[in-house]
Amino acid sequence: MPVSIGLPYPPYLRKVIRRSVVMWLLLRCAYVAVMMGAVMAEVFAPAEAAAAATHPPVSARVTLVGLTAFLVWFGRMRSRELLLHANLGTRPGWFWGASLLTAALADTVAQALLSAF
Amino acid sequence: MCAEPLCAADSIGKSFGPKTILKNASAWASEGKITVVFGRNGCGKTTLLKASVGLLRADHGVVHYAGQAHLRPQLPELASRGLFYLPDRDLLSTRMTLGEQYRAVEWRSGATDTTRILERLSVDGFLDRKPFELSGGERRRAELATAWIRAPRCLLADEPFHGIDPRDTDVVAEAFRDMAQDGCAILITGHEIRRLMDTADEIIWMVAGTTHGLGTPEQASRHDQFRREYLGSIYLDDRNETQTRSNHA
Repeated sequence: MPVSIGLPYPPYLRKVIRRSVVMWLLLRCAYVAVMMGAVMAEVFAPAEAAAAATHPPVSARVTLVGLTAFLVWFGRMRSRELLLHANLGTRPGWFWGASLLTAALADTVAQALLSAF
Repeated sequence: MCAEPLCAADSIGKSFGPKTILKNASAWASEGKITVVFGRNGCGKTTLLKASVGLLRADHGVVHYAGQAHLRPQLPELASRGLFYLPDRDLLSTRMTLGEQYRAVEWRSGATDTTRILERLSVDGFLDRKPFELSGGERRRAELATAWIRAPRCLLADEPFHGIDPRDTDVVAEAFRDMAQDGCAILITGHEIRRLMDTADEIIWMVAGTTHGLGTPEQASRHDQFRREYLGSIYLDDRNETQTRSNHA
């Protein structure tokens, strides 16, 4: 059964999920840093930038999620992790999907928490 | 080709821009046999293997694997049916230890004799190390161990003897022999003439973007054009030396 649908090796899938969470957090921090930079450059007013940092527009959220999945894939490619798992019959969609879902989930949870407070 | 091969790349063509690498190349691997592809540097051996497993998209040609034809082969799909592609380098991840990576392969293959395989290839002492901490030859043996643990039905190996010292080439050749005895169909490329001629059951010669099946190593070594254009003086000298020795004896 695991072979026919190309299930990924579970510990490695968990590793990809962990990397996705960390990458999304880093990107979100970078986004906040960009907003602070925009305030210092007087592009945005402080209140406007704070609102954009805590409640980014949907386009920015989607970009961060997509960028997370891309950078996780890029990191896997750089450290030569693609070929071994392809050789084990795992379809790359598993890892793309896991990264995208993880980043989307992290985004949803973060937005829910920020809205609550 | 005598019996129906398990894996056959048929009439593969591939160009990179204006440069045509493969015009009409074929290669095959039959169960329980070791087929070796010889060819000069840059003739397209690696391109042929990569196109066969879908890492490069061929301009034309078809890959037959286990009775199915694939116009656009994809490695995960072929691998899930028992194919393993061993590239000329960089199979293993630089971020993870060998032990972690072997566990992933074991999980897929259900292998129970990993320790024996690692001991046979003398990589059992490297489980806590990452590939970049190994020498070129050690890394090559570690990569071959990965393929062996996977217990593939078909192994396509690109220059598996490259960078391995003479003593360890015996070990690696024996590993291929054992895998073939277990029924694995093996296709190898390389330039280590004597070693590969001793190991092979069948020879394919790649020249000018196309391939020629030369039969057994004995038949290949009698092929005038192959001797003249690929083997060159080394093999002819070797044969003369052997003949002289037998005359003295």
